[in-house]
Amino acid sequence: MATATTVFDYLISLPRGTLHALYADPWTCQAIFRDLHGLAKQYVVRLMFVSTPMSLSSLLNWVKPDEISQHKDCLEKLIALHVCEEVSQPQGHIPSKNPDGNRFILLNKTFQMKFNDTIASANQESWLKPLEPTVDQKKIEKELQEYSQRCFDAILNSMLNPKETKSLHPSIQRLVLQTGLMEEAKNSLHITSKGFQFLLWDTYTQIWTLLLAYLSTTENQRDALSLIFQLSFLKMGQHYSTNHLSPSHLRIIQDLSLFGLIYQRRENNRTEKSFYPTRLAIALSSTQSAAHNGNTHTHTSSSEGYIMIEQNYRMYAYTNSPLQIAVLKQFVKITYKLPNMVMGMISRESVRDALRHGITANQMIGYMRQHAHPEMLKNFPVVPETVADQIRLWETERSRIKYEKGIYYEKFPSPAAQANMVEYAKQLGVLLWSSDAGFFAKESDLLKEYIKKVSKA
Amino acid sequence: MAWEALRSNRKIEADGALSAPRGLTQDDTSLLVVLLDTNPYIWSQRKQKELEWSSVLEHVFNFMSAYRLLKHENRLAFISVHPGESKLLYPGSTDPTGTDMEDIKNEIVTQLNAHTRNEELLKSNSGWSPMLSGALSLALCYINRIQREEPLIRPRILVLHASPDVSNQYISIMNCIFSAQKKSILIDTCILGSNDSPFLQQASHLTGGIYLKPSQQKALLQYALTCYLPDPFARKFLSLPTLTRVDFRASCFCHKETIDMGFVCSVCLSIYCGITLVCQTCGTRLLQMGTAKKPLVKKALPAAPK
Repeated sequence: MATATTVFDYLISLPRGTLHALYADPWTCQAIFRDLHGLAKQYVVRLMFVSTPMSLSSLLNWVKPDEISQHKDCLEKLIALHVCEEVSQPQGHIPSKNPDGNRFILLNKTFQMKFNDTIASANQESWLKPLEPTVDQKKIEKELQEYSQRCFDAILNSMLNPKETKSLHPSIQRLVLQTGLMEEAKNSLHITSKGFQFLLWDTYTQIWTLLLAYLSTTENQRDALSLIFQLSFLKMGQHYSTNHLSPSHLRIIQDLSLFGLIYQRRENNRTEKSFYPTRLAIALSSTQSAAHNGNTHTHTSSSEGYIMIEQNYRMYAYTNSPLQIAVLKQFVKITYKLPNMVMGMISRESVRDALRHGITANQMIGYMRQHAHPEMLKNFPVVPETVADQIRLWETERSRIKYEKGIYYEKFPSPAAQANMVEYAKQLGVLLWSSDAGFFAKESDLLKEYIKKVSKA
Repeated sequence: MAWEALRSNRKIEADGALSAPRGLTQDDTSLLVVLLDTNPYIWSQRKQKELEWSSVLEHVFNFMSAYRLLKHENRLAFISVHPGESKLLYPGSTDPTGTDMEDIKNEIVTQLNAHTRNEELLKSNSGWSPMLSGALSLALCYINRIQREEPLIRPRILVLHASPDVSNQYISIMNCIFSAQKKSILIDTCILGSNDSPFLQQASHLTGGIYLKPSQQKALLQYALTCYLPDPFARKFLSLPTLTRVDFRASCFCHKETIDMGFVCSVCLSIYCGITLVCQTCGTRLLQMGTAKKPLVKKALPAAPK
């Protein structure tokens, strides 16, 4: 089953009614708004107080003349998301020649109302109420960090070690199969090339990929989505009561704790059940760069860098995590393993191995940059140019041969006829190669007809 | 959109753009410093068509809340421009991260009340003129501090001003403007009084910000959301109001009066409204004894284009 790759693709694929129902939740509106394109955000704000339909042609005045394509992209997205809706022409409108002059849009009524409330800070009450803290803040933050890291690393780790796959929770097993990250062969699970690529993505993309797959399997998508969006607005280190949650929400909370998004702490002396959101959950609504730039507000689990690359293709990784070493092994030949670090070489063979698994050069370089050691971050560019360029060269090396399907023509009635045919094939744009003896062209009905005609004559 | 731009972003990052002097991206975190004129004298003398103090405050709060909505990491600061003193009201004592708009509002309002009741300030010095230059320097210092913590942040300043310009602040305001220009900090200005402010016109003009004097103050929030909310990234695409006429007139250094034509020291470029023998700023003797007939330098200042 094909799954949407981004949450927007996913939202767009939802039926209109579901989206409308989603917008009834102010937190969902906020989360969706935050992840819109920078320009689209401005449009939503500008349309917020507008109650009479606006024609698309009048909206054109908002942008500089050179940026119209951006403008149109943004509007299309807003319309696809049903944040903006096309409405019928207002009364007394004189039809204009320009088709855009006859298309009118307004902000989705529900969205507009909820968003208005948010800005005016009215009805801001979250339906998840924080409870009085029971444990020391520092202690709980550390616990949360460790927990989410452990959960998520377990998922990634088991993808690399077939032996450990069995220990995965069945529902997560189902997810990785469904997203095509692993496949089943001979009664055991194997990682696919998509899975290898997945390992090199940043945590933010990884979580969303899994979450989207999860969403497409749950029965109550709407509840799940609004809960996920709501989670990203909660405060770190606070816990929230589960007492007044609906059964479907409770189940989703249980499921999300498998990913490490939610932590349920065992406390014996409490009757009320509660849960803590982890950093992974809170980072969901912040943009991806902030999540791994080491921004002070939203550290994700992987923000501390550990990789150092030298210009001579040596790599030092200050880590002892089996997962990180396993990921590095995908494209680095590990030579030494010390208690606190591993050393390896980036070689043509090791990179070609990775390329064969479907990992691209940019993914490898991106991974090294993303997990670069703080000392290395001071350099510019972060990954030494020689190394980055060489990895790219090794990648292009593999595409020296290009396959094209075609037909070889030879034995022409006359050299003049041959020249005509080559000329015609060139005009059609199907000619791949030609010599005195014959020529090679992509399959084309027009060319075939022409050749038949010429050969008969 | 953020999720969609992911793939393409990664490609850009892979080319080493992350630590390069970066261009504008939609992932930029911004820092907005709001400067609000809190001169009680001006706000008690509002004309009929002009917006009341309480509604101005409400509009500003709504604008700030919209700004915070744009991005989770967006940072905000609030400075009051009061006669005799400008003060950083937010962020104050509380932790700036993860606070609700409601908390921010309360903090600012409490501080404002305490601040405006402090009548000693009013009696003590500088009469009724609000310390715009002081507030601007405070904003710049604050931005400088934050930039040290987060070098990637994109700062900008929004000045909401109602009082008339005070010409004896000319030099200090111009110095602030030039510092802002150097650090590429935009200064957006919104005039809520009855007259244009040549100082702030120059501030916006030189820093690339937007200067606006809303003709219908009731729609202040709408003006603000349309013009001041877009971050530098979105401003690349949007067509926003530009200033057609800027009053470039300077104030003289000797009597702090706005002048069209003046005398300029040939050494340090100080401006004087009349002939002076010795430059007050750099001490250069401008006129030779005995040849006092002709002034050494006379330079027409750029007059206001009509």
